[in-house]
Amino acid sequence: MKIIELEHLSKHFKVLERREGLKGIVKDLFKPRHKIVKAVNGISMDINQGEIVGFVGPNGAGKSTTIKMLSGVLKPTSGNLLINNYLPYKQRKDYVKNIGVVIGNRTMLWWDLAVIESFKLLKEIYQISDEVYKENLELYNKFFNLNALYSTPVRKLSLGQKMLCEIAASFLHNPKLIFLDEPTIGLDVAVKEKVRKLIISLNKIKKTTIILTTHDIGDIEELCQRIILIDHGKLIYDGSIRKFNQIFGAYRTLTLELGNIDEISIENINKEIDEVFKPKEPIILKKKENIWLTLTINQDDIKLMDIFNFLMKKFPVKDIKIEEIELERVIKEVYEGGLK
Amino acid sequence: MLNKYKKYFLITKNSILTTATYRFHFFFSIISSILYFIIYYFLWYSIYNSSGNTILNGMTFSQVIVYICLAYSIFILFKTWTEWGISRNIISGQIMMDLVKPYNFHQANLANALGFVLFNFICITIPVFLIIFTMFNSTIIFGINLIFFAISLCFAFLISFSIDYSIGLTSFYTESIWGISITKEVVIMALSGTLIPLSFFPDSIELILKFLPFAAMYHIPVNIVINSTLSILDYFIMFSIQLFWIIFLIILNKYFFKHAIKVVTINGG
Ligand SMILES: Nc1ncnc2c1ncn2[C@@H]1O[C@H](COP(=O)(O)OP(=O)(O)OP(=O)(O)O)[C@@H](O)[C@H]1O
Ligand SMILES: [Mg+2]
Repeated sequence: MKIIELEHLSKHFKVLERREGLKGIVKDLFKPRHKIVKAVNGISMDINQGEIVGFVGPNGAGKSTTIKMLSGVLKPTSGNLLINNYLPYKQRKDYVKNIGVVIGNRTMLWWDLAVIESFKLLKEIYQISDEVYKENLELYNKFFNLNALYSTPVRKLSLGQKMLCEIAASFLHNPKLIFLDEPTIGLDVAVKEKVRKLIISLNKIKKTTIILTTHDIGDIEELCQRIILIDHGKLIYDGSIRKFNQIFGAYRTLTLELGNIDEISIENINKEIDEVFKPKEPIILKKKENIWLTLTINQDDIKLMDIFNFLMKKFPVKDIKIEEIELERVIKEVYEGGLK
Repeated sequence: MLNKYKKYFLITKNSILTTATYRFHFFFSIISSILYFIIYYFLWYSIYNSSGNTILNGMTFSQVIVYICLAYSIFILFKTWTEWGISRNIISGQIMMDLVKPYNFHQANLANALGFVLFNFICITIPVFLIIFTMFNSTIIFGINLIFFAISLCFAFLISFSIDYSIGLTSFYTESIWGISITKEVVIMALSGTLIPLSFFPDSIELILKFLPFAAMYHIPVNIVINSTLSILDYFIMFSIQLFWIIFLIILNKYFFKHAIKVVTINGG
């Protein structure tokens, strides 16, 4: 069953284009120049009940702006938006009863109050029944030991503790739909794992639909069945994470420290790689930051270890890093037809 | 029905708890209020002294002192920082979290301001009031007018809050409210009777001022306390003025919010 229907949704911001210098300030005052920023530019999608959808894209892609419109607090410039049978922007006060919102660096809780006081207040605000409230607190405690944090004022929680409480708070009224904008930002690996576990188990238990934005591919891989990629306010990929992984899961970025090496020898290496491995897609060794060199390999095509052994024989490799493909690279691939 | 308002009671309670976390705040408020008052005492003292009269514009020196003291106590009482809170949330983008909660933004702010007022009342207004009154040996006659005073004070609070709230809403457009809030403060100080009792203004201006919301906030409650010759008609007129402004401002703010929410761009992301 569809819970979110989005059609050509757009949000354009009119921003003052500031001129430079003192003269510019005076000019701005009397003759302001405006430009239009198309933060979200005609996005359409449908989301079904119970799905966890990962919403990804580079910085400034328009993810947060979309989330703001989905939450009913920002008026779309144009397009249609129907969520849970509400027009979020027009029926905000009723609509928000059934959603939860978590934003990485904002808080749903009251800064100066103990966590449990905030929960009690949310209980009244959302008119949560005693049973549901009790049930949820027990659930949180059983899985995540949140009881230990309840008496601490929110401002004294660590970032990770706060995020756990925020997510718990957003599920308190059993909403049908939750928006999470960068829920794992700034968390260490262990807490990230905890946050992901919390999200997954709540989704399983309560069948909540979850939309989440993140820059962490790990979040996507562990949480989402579906991924929506946007760039410059436009949707560029919408599909299953499996297909996505099939294509991008095979890519690895190898970063090496080879000591001093000049441009000419880099070119020579590139030629040699080409001759020896005959890759389907060109593998290009590039300088990254002063001493680091980097190349991206499609493992379906060529084994990472082969390339590595090849380079080892020729150069004194001092240090290596192996990473998954970067989002920027994925987007480039999508544009070039990698997913079509 | 009552259940529906329970959330607002809780907001009020929490706002009291929150204010109480910053204990130094009220300590300094008391000191600065007393200093402020001492300055005004001597200012009025020299005005009466140099004029040579014991009654100016129908008021004795001690009446002026009681007037100023009361008006100023109310002024501190109504300091709820409502507009600063809204503007701070607009600038930081935290306003989004207010707007995704299913409560009435106006009522939630009112409940929050009420918490401040109750706290101010107990921790700032009463001590300041007592200290000033014992320091300067003034007297007030309290009778039935105490009840009317309490009612008019509640009305005055609603007016004061509505003005603050509408200034808070301007931050939906301008983000910062620094200039406009300072201007408001000066205008209220000057035109409400907090600095100078209204009877010291020229008659025609006094008449106009009496009908403005500023006087309805300070002059009316104070007048109820000091003036022992008020008739039923006087009370009726005063309460009508207050009620008029409450209703007017609430309706105005309703439309203001409806428009403001359309233009607000939630910061951050
Ligand atoms: N209030 C605003 N006024 C003007 N421009 C804005 C406003 N809010 C966002 N933008 C612009 O809209 C674009 C999209 O911003 P948005 O915050 O949605 O990006 P994002 O995808 O969340 O990025 P990030 O991953 O960095 O959080 C950016 O270019 C931003 O500068
Ligand atoms: Mg963002």
